[in-house]
Amino acid sequence: VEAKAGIGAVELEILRSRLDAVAEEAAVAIKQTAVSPIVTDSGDYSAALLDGSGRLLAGGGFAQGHWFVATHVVRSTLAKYGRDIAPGDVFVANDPHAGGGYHPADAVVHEPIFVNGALVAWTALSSHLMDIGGIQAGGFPMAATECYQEGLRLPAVRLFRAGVENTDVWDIFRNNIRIAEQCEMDLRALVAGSHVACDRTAELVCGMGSEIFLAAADDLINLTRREVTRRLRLIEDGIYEVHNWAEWGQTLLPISCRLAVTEGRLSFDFTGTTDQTSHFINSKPYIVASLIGVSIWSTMARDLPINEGLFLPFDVHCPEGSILNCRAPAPISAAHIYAARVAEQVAMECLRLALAASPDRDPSHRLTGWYGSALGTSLFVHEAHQRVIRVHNGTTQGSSAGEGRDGYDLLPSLTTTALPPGMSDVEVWEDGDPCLFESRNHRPGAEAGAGAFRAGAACEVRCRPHGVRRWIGQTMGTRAWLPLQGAAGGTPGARVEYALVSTDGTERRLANQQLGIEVTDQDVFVTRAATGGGFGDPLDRDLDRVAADVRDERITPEIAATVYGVLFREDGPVSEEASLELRDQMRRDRLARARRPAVALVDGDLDALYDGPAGPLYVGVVQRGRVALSQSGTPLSVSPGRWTEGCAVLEEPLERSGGPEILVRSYLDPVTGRSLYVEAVPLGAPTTFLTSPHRWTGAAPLRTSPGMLRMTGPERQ
Amino acid sequence: MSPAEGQRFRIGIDVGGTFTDVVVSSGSAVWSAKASTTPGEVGRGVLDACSKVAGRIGLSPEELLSRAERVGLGTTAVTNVLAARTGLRTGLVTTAGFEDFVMFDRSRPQVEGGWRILATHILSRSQIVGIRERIDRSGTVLLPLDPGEVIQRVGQLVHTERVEAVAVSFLWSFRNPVHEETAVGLIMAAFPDLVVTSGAQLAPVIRESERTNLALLNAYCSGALGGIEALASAFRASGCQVPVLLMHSGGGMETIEHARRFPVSLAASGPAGGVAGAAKIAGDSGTLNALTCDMGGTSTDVSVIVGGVAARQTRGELMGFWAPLPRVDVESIGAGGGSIGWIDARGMLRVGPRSAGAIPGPACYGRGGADPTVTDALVVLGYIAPDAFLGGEMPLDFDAAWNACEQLGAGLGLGPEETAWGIRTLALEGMVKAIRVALRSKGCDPREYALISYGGCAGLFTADLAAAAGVAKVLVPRLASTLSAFGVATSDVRLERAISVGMVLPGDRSRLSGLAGRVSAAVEADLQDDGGDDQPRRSTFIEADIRFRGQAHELRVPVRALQQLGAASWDQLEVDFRDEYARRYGKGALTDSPVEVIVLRAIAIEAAGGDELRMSHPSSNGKETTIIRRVVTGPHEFADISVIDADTLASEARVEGPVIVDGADTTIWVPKGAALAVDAAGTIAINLAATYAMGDRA
Repeated sequence: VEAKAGIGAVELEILRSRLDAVAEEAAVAIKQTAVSPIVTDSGDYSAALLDGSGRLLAGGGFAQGHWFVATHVVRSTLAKYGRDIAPGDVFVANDPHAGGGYHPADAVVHEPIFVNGALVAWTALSSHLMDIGGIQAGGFPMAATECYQEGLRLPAVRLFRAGVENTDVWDIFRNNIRIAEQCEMDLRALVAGSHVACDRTAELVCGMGSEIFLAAADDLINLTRREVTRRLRLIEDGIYEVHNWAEWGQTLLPISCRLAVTEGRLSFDFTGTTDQTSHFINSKPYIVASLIGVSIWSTMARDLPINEGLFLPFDVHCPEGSILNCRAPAPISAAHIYAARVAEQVAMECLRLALAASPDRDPSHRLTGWYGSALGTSLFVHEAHQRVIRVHNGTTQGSSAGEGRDGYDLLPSLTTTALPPGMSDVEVWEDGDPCLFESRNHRPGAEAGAGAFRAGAACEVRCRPHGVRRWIGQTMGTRAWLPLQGAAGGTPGARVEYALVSTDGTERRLANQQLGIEVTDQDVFVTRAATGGGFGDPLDRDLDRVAADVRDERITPEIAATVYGVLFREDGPVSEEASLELRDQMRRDRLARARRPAVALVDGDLDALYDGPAGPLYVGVVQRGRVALSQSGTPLSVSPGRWTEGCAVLEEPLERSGGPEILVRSYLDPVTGRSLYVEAVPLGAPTTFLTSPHRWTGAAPLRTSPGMLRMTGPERQ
Repeated sequence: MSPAEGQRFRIGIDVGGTFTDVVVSSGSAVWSAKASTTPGEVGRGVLDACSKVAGRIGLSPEELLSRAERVGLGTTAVTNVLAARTGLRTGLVTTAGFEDFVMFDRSRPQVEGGWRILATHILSRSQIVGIRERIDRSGTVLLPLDPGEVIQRVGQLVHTERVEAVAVSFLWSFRNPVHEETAVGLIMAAFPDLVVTSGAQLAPVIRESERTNLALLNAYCSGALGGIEALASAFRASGCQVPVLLMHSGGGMETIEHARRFPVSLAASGPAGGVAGAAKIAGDSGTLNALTCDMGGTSTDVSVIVGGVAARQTRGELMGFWAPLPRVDVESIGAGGGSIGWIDARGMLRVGPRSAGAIPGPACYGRGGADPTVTDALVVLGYIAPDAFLGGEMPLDFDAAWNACEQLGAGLGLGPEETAWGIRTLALEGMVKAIRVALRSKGCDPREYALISYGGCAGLFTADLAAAAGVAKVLVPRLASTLSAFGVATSDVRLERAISVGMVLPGDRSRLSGLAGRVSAAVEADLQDDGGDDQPRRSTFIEADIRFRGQAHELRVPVRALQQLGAASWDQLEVDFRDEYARRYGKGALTDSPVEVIVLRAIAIEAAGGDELRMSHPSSNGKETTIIRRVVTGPHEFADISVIDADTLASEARVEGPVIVDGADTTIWVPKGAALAVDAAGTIAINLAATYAMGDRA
């Protein structure tokens, strides 16, 4: 350790442990003094500690996404007030357009910490306020078309000036929001937590001296940065791209990411992403960066302390004026859950493509299908008054499968440890709100998310008004049209669905973003959460696993046959012979239905091209010199072309329910028919991903000219 | 010297993972002994320990047992069944439409090799059946239960799944138990060999998943009491005339009969015994508020005693399951004597949570362990003398400890002593963090608390721990390592029952009083069923789980003894709730919202009596035996420290730090600026000077 602070490794680790303890203690203080269940029960709060210049040192509380966002808040306040910041000042900011945090309902209380007259550190605490004013109750005003309608917009202003309460600001706060008393108590809980953090941090800094503290902070940041960079260096240098779409109504809004990996540095470039919209789904680069950082931590660095050093080895570029870098008056209340989540997802898929192409990757940096950007919540109010019933329970997804592992039921991911929000007991929901659950179980029909390893089950919630005649409200879902994708040939997952079922059993689908929905006590409101995708070709799934899924009533024997190619004997057990035969037939059928590759390579002619670097390009696809080969040894393409060029391509429409037409496109081994990669795309969209490591694009130059290659393919037949 | 004829004894036995401890008290004197635990045959280890201690008293084991006026047992029998997942094959009967969420994993997430790891469930999905029935939040039956369906579906569980036990748990059964009671009755009549449990009967509280888990776990560990029953017969055969009482998770005693109905109540018996003993020690020293710190091999357990009573929790995680089991509130952190020092990916020294356990154990145990543990660090630093460990019964290998630290230090550029100092300090930091968070989350002011440490090498950390947490006083029981057995010997019988209320105050007070009367009668009947008729020692009191309307969490607030219960009690309850709320969270946190009573609990106590029972220790009146030892006191500091033999420490003695007190049972570090005093019961108190603080060292 080249320690700047001149203190030993042990003392440095002690400091880290104490900073952690301070942040955790501040977080506990929030939880103990807040009143809203979203804080006390759902854990939507955080406490971050930063150094004097606004660099993240430690975080406490469950909302890890807040921690890096806090650095943006504090830096904005520093830029705004400069030297006009005094001991005892307590700031609050909530407007993402003006130095705020995650979204307007997450107010950020922040307080400078002075020791001997010098600004040495900051606290920054945040929790979800149940209202923030504006045109709709509850902080998610879907009807807003500009930020002025979204509620109270606070740039950094002082709640306390030099320790004295700034009653003017509290008055403005109280006068602008609906459930002012409750929200004021939650805001004061943040102030209470901030004071705890300030006192403890000041004590700590006094004990060791400001100069040593600041140098030690540098050291701690550098330790994390250096180790993250070391891990990122194991990733193959090159370019990786993924394109996907955010959804609003019937419209698909492109979100594109190009990841450049250069010697342990990651650059995520979102050029090509759609322009900002007049809906509340717009976001900001610092929010995207925070989401990506926490995802990188969760995939590759879970054993490391989270501080500024986690965020230094990567940068994020979101074009000005795009949906990820909007300007006022763009509404922004869902800045952290809509477009930003799709951005996080495409960025992480770029990273997974890069990991899949890296021969030296750490095996614990797991490959899985997509997770995280599917949302299925809804907000209702009583007919009589404006009390929000609650965000109803529909976010308990089934996770995507991963290498060697089926997805988990009712949990969003195989690798992250977050609990899904809204998994409280049915009795807790029914006790607090005028509702009755008809059922809350696994969502039926598990043919989606199939693979050699399949996705976990998502939940389906069926509930209705009980004790009141009707609810009025809105759905707030994503992924009505484009499902979460699998990996390595696994199929995409099931999409988020809402419906109303009337007493005669007829089901009427609702849009995923729909205002003014009326649910009477004669209706059942149904939410079906998304599942992730499968991993590997479903026809490679172990026969016993398929049999177990049938036995557990997870899938029907019909799905076992049509999706997995598994047949059972009349007396029960799997018929191995018949199944293997069926699988062969299904693979042949796939090829028969598929578009043959534009260019097919004949192995014998490529001998001269096999010299040069070798390594994986994707799961089941390897590079040998200038040639990409599938597992079966079939040559697929020649550098620098995409490895998918030599695949047979099968396009099949995904069941349509009134929205844009979506295709499921499978890239098949042209000889064996094995599915290598599956993507769900709007009709007419080109391939949505690119794996282009420098090892591949810069492979040894041709020793034979391309003209010597014998071409086969449809145009020659 | 043999005790007088007719002298009666109280016996406390604690069966731990490694050792079985026994403490015997005559009211004026205390004896203790240790034997190895005999897994699979609990009785043998217990009888060994009893023989040993009887020998020390000068009696035969039969004489001791026949003169017992009380025998208490702390046991891990149920804990082990749950931890190893070796219980009965269990089925679940629940409301149709809600079967899948039973398997939902709410335990604290763990990650291994990049994967999130789920707790192993005691059920597979095929062991869950849904019955069509529905009751709503007001207790109204919306869909009646069909008896035929219950019999048919349970029949499937028995025949296809071969279940040995069945738990029944329906939605809102705590508000209206009619369906659940009917189903239980039907199943018991149709399948008399099945163990049948009911969630609403065990815990009539809101949150179906937790009630269901409790019913499941109870059914699952119904077969775990075999060893205890055998031990009880062995005791009876030896002439023991009193029933064996068991320490339950709530820090009180229950009879074997009661445990048979509610076996899962023993799930956290082990830690409860220690906290009960610590509460007794604290009370005897005139300390009402205390933190306990029990340092074991793999973890350190922290709990809080307020007003002489151990803080209890009514819901929490139990071996991977959230369940509403009333129990002593113990926070466990992964730092114990066996916690291993290691170098993390950043190149920084870390300690735990991986532990060397008992096998191979710390390097200095010489059983093949090569990683340096907290214990090794303490040996290298001079706090533990290798030849005096466990009173010299187990010599330690200093060189092995030194080599382990040296090897680890090489990777850090540190010498063995610096490395050892780092391990000790980082272990201490972990404990400081846990204590601060425990205090903060209970709204406690550390200045009003004493710290009681026991177990392993806790005494070597307590003074520094107290200083860092802002606690002014430390207590170290002399028989620290057998404190659990002491707690078992001295705790009251304590039974608890709950009844669901769901009423906004002021509400219908006569209904509240009626419910309180009902739940009290039920718990008093439990006490009566357990035999004995010692009315004067019995009392019943009422507590309420109460909150501001709409909150997610309740506070547990005492109502008052049943005899004095009247309409005014309920007004007072609201006042008491607001006071307690303000005390914990500050006056600023109070709101004008209405207050609602969620649950009433009746607690029946049969006092253990024996107020004179002290964990007294024969004190020496002679001169203390002192040697001088070189001890590492800082990153690069050494000092020659006096080491006093604990057995020669006079009662009422006062000694200024720095000093080490070395005993067979525990070793205590008294830093510079702090002072040690021995009280009449032999408990060692360390008073920390105001000037001593952690910051001094940094």
